[in-house]
Amino acid sequence: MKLKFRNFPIGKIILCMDLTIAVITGVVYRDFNNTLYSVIAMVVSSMALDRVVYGMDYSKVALIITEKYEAIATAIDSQLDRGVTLLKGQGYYKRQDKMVLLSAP
Amino acid sequence: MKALNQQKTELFRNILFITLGSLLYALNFDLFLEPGGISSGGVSGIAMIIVYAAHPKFLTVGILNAMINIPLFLCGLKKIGRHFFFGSLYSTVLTSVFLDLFARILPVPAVEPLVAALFGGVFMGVSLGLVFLGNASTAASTSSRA
Repeated sequence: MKLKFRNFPIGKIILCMDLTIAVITGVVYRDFNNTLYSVIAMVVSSMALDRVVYGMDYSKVALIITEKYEAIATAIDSQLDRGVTLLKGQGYYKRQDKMVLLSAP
Repeated sequence: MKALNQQKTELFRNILFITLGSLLYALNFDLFLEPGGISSGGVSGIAMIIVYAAHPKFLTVGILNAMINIPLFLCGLKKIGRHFFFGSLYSTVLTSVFLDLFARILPVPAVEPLVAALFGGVFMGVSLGLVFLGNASTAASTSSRA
């Protein structure tokens, strides 16, 4: 399968298979509504699946641009359960060097 | 020693997720999808259509589900690795047994088709997600190509 449809992403192959099954369901049950209901169920289930699998490991990244980066970095490091990285930045207009704090859990 | 304990905890967690997911999958299939004639796609969807169309005497959805799924997993054994294989095998067997068990002991509810499709979809997504979080899969067609 993979070799034959190499440039066809797996999600699309599965989608095609599922849609085919939905159509066959309608034919077998002799009711087109069964096809439509099946498609609804498939769409909803893929949304719920993503929620369950990817919904749990979200994370927020903060970028902080400030003069008092040293104090804030120390505070984050000592009081929060997050890591800090210092990035060297430069303002576009005045070409002024500054520090950017990048903080992620 | 600590690593071993950690491994055990993870194994236990995986088995718990796979078991819960398979249970919910079978329950949802028998309560919402099959009564509504709603195909979930994948192997159990095909099994449902075959049973509905042909009324085979000794073949139930559960048996058909295992019969189609297990050979597919065996095909993909080399690619998916031993751990994933055994987890998925466990999930498939459990799902198939529960599919038939629930079909026998639970009443068939008369639900509105649209409601059945919506709730059936939600519960199916959650149950598949639980099995995935347990590092396994219920769908051999997915894993044999992964």
